[in-house]
Amino acid sequence: MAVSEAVITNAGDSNDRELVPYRSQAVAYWYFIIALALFVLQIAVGLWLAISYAFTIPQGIVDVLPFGMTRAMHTNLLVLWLLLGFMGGAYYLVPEESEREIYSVKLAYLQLLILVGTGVAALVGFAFGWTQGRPILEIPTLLDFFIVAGALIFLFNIGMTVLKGRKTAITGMLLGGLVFLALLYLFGMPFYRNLTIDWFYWWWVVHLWVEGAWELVTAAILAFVLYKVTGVRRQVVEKYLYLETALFLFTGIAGTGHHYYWLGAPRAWLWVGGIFSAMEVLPIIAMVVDTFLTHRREGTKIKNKVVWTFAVGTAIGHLIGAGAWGFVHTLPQINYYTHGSQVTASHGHVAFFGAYVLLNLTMFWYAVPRLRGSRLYSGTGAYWGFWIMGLSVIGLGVCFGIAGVLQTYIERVMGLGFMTAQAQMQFWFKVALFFGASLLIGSLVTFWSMFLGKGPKTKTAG
Amino acid sequence: MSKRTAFWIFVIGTTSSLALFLFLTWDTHRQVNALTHADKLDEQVVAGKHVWEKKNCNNCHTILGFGVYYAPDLTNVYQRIGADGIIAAVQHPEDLYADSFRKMPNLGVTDQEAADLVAFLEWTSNI
Ligand code: HEM
Ligand SMILES: [Fe+2]
Repeated sequence: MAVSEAVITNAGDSNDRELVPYRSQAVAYWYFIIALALFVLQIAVGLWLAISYAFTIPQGIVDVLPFGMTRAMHTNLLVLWLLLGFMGGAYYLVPEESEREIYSVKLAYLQLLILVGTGVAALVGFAFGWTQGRPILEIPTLLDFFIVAGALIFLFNIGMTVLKGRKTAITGMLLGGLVFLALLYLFGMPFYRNLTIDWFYWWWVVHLWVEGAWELVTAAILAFVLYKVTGVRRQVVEKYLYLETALFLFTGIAGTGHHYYWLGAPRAWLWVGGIFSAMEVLPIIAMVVDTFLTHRREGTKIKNKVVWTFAVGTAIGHLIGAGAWGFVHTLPQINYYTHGSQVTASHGHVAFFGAYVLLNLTMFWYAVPRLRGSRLYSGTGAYWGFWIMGLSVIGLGVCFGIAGVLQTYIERVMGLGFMTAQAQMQFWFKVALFFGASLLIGSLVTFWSMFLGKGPKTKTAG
Repeated sequence: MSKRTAFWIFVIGTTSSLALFLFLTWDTHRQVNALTHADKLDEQVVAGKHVWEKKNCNNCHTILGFGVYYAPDLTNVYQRIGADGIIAAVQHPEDLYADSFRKMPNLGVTDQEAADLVAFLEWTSNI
């Protein structure tokens, strides 16, 4: 301990000498490009959803293209691409951390093929009404088994690489988070006779993913990127990694109770869910402080401005979307009014984007330019993409948020009907459509500048 | 603080939260039957839940406040519009919502399926 603390390396990029130290890291490229393409598709489908909210769709169209079918595509695309992004991130960072090649590159490609194939089958299936009908977990049981197979190959491959190589806190946390993530998926697969129990375990997947397992994966990936671009000592990065994830899990696991208030579950959840979930903002604040302050205190300089922009964006987006927007409606006294309204939709969009979309893009912007042959320290396309998408999602969040407050007031306070409220909210869905369109443009700019644009100019620094 | 201390904070924090969570999960299983009138949860209710999932109702509607916000919450719809209302809505949405600015698709629900859905929604209205 004392010995390694003494080895101070704060010379800027000293944690980041070679471009792509291990050849097998290249598999990540295919994960990233497919993930980002699916992101663009997800937004395009989302535009159709906004149109369905903002205008009257004739019965003839509704019958063949029901809202519910397209909404299932929207959310499943989201989950699929974020997970592919995480997996790509894992394949990129684990060799560098473990100081060895990936256990099997062939398995990595096979796994990608299985998961993308299953994803496509699921989307086509939805179009023909093949669904398990539970929001976000619609994938039919048969296809679930393919997902499990893909996930097992992934865990095996990453696990073997980690176990055979140098062990670091980052890979340990990453592997732990991924195993936890995969285990939770199993609870979403069975058919539950009792609807209350069904939703109870639905949240084991959805909540314990985004406020548990995914936070571990995110914290590990962010720790890796910060270690690389800020040049802060490993000891410091890893210490914060433990403290943040400790807080994430301490508050997040019992915090699951914030979804069990009105479910027909025991009343104890009101207390436990309220208190623990209210504390969930703490680890997120810790992450922001860690991102901003550590490198200053350590006196290092940051050269990779693109990745830094996205990393800071992730920290702040996480804080706004999940921390602040989650906190606002997490106490039972408030959730009683806002539960299941557009307030929830607003929070869902800003939180997913702020935390997980930006986290993935941080990793992509670190890795992809390198995989294409150069360091990228500044890039116009990256910045345009960042600001267009960021402002668009804020716009979406504000639209849904206003619609949600209107809805809460009209339905829950005045006691009027659902459609009365929707009529008042429609204007805001039209505005949301505008922001959805600009988000699509932002995602295309990002895709273009990351993968298709002229190879990034090298501004190597040693 | 050293990295080692941080590691132990992680382990203890996680296990304590997990212990509380699993205890409450056990408690939920203990009480859920009483809380949800599970004695009335018969085969037709289960059949209705299958229809509910097959037709993807939950991707427009919320139930117990969960799901999608495109169409009204259906937890208590049985009390609002009764069995006939539910059957009319699922079998002939194009007539019922002819004047509405938001339409519901006709999902080809059979008589049997409609009856099962009614049983399911009657049960949920008592949770
Ligand atoms: C990055 C992390 C997060 C993501 C991606 C996220 C995403 C979501 C999504 C998508 C939903 C809607 C689920 C549905 O009903 O379909 C939701 C619900 C909710 N989230 Fe989060 N969330 C995050 C963190 C948080 C945090 C930290 C809190 C509070 C401290 C929070 C509080 C809530 C509450 C209270 C609901 C239920 C709203 C309702 O009753 O309708 N979330 N979240
Ligand atoms: Fe949650």
